[in-house]
Amino acid sequence: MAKKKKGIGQIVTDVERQINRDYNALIKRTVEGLSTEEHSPVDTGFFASSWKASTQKIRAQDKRQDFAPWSNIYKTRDSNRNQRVHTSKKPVGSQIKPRFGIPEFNYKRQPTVYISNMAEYAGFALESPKVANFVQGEMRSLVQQTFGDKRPGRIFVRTGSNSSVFGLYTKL
Amino acid sequence: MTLVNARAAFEKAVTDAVAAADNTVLMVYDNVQYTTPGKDKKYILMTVNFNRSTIQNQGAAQDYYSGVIQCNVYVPKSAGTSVLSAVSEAVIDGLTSVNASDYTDTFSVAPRVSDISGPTPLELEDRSHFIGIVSCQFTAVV
Repeated sequence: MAKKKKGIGQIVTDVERQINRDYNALIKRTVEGLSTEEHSPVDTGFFASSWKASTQKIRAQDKRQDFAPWSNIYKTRDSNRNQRVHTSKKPVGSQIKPRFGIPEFNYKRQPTVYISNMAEYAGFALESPKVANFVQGEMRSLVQQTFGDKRPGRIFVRTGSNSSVFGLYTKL
Repeated sequence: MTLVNARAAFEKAVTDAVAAADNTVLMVYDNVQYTTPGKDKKYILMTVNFNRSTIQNQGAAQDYYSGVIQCNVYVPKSAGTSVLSAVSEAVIDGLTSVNASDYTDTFSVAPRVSDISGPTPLELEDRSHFIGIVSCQFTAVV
């Protein structure tokens, strides 16, 4: 049976659906991009794991000490090996594990989405140029890629050994 | 040496503008060792990050640099915002000076800046200074 053709009357719905899909894709790519070592300063990994997309402005108030596994990173066993004590040694085992899911947004009902960091010490991290480098540098191409014309297929070649899904790929 | 020249063009533009506005402000650049100045001193940490180095223009690759400049402005804490505003304004003047029609392109890299944001103020408990962040995109072509 032949596939039913769409009428021109569907164009508005189709365009809106496409814009909404791209809108959500951009938000997802932005949060995922920020949650990497390339684009967030990493010490324990808590800051890079704390990016969140929301329709409300978010107050950065989460303390690293309150959230596992980051809460234990600066702790070690005492000499009797039975109690955890605080250490000032450079943390071993820092990890980036995004703490928040990315909800679906509707660009008509939620035209503004804030992507913020929940870590209490987020201000300190902004001193590093990594975040600005992503927001002012790579966001432009991310917007172009996401909202530009879609080609049937794209090939990316991994050009580095980094384990992140997001970084170090070259588009052919 | 064009990469060096591109960096130098922006660093010199900002340094000259800041020195003209307030010669007590210390400039610190990428990969330069420094001791954090005392709490009464004013200083600027300037970083230049290159995101792109060439552009493919009908065949041959051409040197085309683009990236992001970030200037962290540190001024004495608990002394109001006027000093931060004045130093940040000098930084912004330095950045925009390369776009001016009468800019002398000493380094021959046609530097340009765009989308300057900031100064975003940061008052952090553990820091001895009040901080303002100015960042922008840049391009340089040979």
